Amino acid sequence: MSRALAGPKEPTRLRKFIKDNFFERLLPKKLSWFRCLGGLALVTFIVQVATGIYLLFFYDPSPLKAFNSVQHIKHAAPYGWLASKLHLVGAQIMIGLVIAHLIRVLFKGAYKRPRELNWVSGASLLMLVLYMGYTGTTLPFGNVHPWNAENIQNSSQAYASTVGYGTTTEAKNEVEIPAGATRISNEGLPSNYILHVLVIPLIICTFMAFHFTMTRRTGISEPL
Amino acid sequence: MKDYTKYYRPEELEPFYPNELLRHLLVVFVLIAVLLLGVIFLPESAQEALPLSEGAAEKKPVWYLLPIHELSKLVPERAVFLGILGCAAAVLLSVPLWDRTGEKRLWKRPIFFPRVIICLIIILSLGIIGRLS
Repeated sequence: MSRALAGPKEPTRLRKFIKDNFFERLLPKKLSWFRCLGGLALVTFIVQVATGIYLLFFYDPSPLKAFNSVQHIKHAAPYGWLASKLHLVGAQIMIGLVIAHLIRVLFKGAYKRPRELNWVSGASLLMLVLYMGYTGTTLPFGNVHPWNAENIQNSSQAYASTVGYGTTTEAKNEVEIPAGATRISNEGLPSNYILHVLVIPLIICTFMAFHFTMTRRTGISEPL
Repeated sequence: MKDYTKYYRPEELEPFYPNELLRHLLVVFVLIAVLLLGVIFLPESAQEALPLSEGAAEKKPVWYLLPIHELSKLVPERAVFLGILGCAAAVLLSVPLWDRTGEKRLWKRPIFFPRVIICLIIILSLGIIGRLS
């Protein structure tokens, strides 16, 4: 390893970065295993991004085709069942890990000076992943829980209904829908889609970058 | 990057590579195993959405949205509901302002700690009520 690290006389910035952060970095021995919760949440986020990108190739966010495309992903697309289920399970595990991480930080008092900004960015990340989960549950455009649909609907005046597996009636500005069925706005679905695949992930990445930078700067709170 | 050599004796420290890295990898493998177990054992019905023509959905929101869903049922007025959510978010973000003592041990924070427990019990109760209703 010493030969590998020796390299040129003046190491490049990358080599120095790897050497400082990887080979010569020292950490306290007595650290709890629970400190891994934040890192695990990051791993599940990466899984979510990977499976989400795969699902993007098959999902159609138009109100008339969304449900059909989800059925296609689950039953016809190559490994679509695996990607969709990994995405579903991963979302729940990620949110569970973020909540567990936050509760641990709360109980350990790790939000105290000088880590206030770590807390603010972390709590913001929790709210963002919850909103991400919320927008995600509406995307199959099926018979989702009415509460989800009602909330989306409130953002728009135009409604549409679908019949069967998306082989539907034309979308009108306002149509009658089956009694008790959910109503999802025509405009709500694409806007939720953009929020879910672009806007919220970008904000999450920004907050994560800040969170990790601050964590590196202030260090692990336990036991300091 | 934080330099721990200032706070610990050399024998209390260990290198990131390979000790810590192996530990991280082990935990990540456990996570992947849990993910795959979820994929295998989670019932298909949990993610199946029915077409809209099937009528009203009987499914409940996912577990992490249950407390918010239950709150929305308790507070039907949308403005008030959003106001409560906004207040809760503000309280969560301002936790470092509420607890400004330097003490980190739980039993040395007798005022702050019970409030946290009460908040967690309220959130958990809302979720359980939402699940059972």
